[in-house]
Amino acid sequence: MTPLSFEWHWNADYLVFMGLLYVALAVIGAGLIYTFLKTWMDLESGESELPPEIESRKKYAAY
Amino acid sequence: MDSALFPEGVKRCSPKVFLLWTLPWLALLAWGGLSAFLCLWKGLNQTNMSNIFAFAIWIVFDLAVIALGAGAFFTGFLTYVIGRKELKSIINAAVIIGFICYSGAVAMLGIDIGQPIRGWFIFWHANVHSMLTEVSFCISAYLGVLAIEYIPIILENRQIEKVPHLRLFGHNLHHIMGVFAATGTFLSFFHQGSLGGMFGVMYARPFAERWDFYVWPTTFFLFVFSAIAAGPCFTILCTKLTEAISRKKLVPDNAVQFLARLSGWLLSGYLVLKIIDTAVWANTTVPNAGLGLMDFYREGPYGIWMLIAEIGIFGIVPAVMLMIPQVRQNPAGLIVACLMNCTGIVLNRFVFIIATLAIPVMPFARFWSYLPTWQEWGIAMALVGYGFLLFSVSYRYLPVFPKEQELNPAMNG
Repeated sequence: MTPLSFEWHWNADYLVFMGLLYVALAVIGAGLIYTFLKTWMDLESGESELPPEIESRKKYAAY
Repeated sequence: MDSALFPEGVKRCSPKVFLLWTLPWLALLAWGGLSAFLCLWKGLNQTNMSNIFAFAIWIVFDLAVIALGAGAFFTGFLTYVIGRKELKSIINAAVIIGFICYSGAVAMLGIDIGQPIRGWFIFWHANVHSMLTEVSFCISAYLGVLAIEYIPIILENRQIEKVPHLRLFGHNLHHIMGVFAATGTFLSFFHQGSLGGMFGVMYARPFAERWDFYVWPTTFFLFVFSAIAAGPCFTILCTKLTEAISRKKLVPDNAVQFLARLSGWLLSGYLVLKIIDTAVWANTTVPNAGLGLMDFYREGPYGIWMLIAEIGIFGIVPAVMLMIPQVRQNPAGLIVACLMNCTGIVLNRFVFIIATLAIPVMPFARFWSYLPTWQEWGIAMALVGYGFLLFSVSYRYLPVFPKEQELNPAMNG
């Protein structure tokens, strides 16, 4: 449901309920877009030849 | 044959043994597939659900696995948001268990709604005053978050990792995992809560009804609390089962002990609130409905033993066991306590779903009984088969337990 849907009402119930959902979806979407863009830029800058190891894996022995 | 796909430096059984291991789980999946086909083709008349039991065994399984799968969001929260580094040795397993629980529950709901082709109605024509709508939104979105958390683990496969693009993508995704973990915690909090709230707002059924705190009945908070108390114990159980089957030590004791201790304290906190809530309910809600406490436990198999079992035997006992260091450090004591904790939570969900619907609400109504058909059992058991299968494949080909090599130096190649 969006504010353009015929069932939509401009009141607090709809704004809070749907607003929180859209915020959560926006954060997930933004995170994914950031990851795709960063990967693309890293590849463009030639870092793809030897991508770094996942940082946390270097520290396994320290856990 | 497939050893090139194994995580680096670890040994796995032969493909033949692995295939034999998967056969029972594939059989359960086949049973579930046949049952699902019949339910979709012929309709929900294949089940023993009715206008009385609109919620039945599938919802019991759904709510149980969602509570037990809470280890994923809670461990993710502790690892990525709070920064408990020792949990990094178990977080991959927690994420996979969570993904199995949630994807299985969503698949089961796809059959339960009767017409999956109209499943999108709840999202597009949403009733914003419905707890069930909140549950649908949050479970779907959180399943997406779990898939995102699962992707970097898949991309760590030894062969996939050789593809630079994918390795880089997995690396970048892993970098911002805290954002996804925090969002997942938010979503999971609300759907665990709304599952409980759904029962607390049943004002026509005094067995389930509870008093409200703002717009949320107390069951909202109790379901969240019970899920985060039981979820880590289920993660421990799955890890210990994998250790027993593979005959290897996979997770350091400090991570398991931390989760077990935390689970014990959370369970204690939950039980204090649950006992207060039950006392308030028995002394206000029930008399206000013109009933006495024992009126709910007179008919059918659901006697007062359920309350004693849920709060006492499978509540207070495991809470005390998990809080005593000598008991939880004993391997058998830990397993028994975790099993009892998980049983208590499953019993709690069963009581809220089945007993609530079985107990009559009108003086002229009778006690209703319900037994699932083989098709209902088939779909429920397919979730078990799917879980074993996906976790086995993940364990075989992905670095689910990053300290496996270090903890088993003599056993690995």
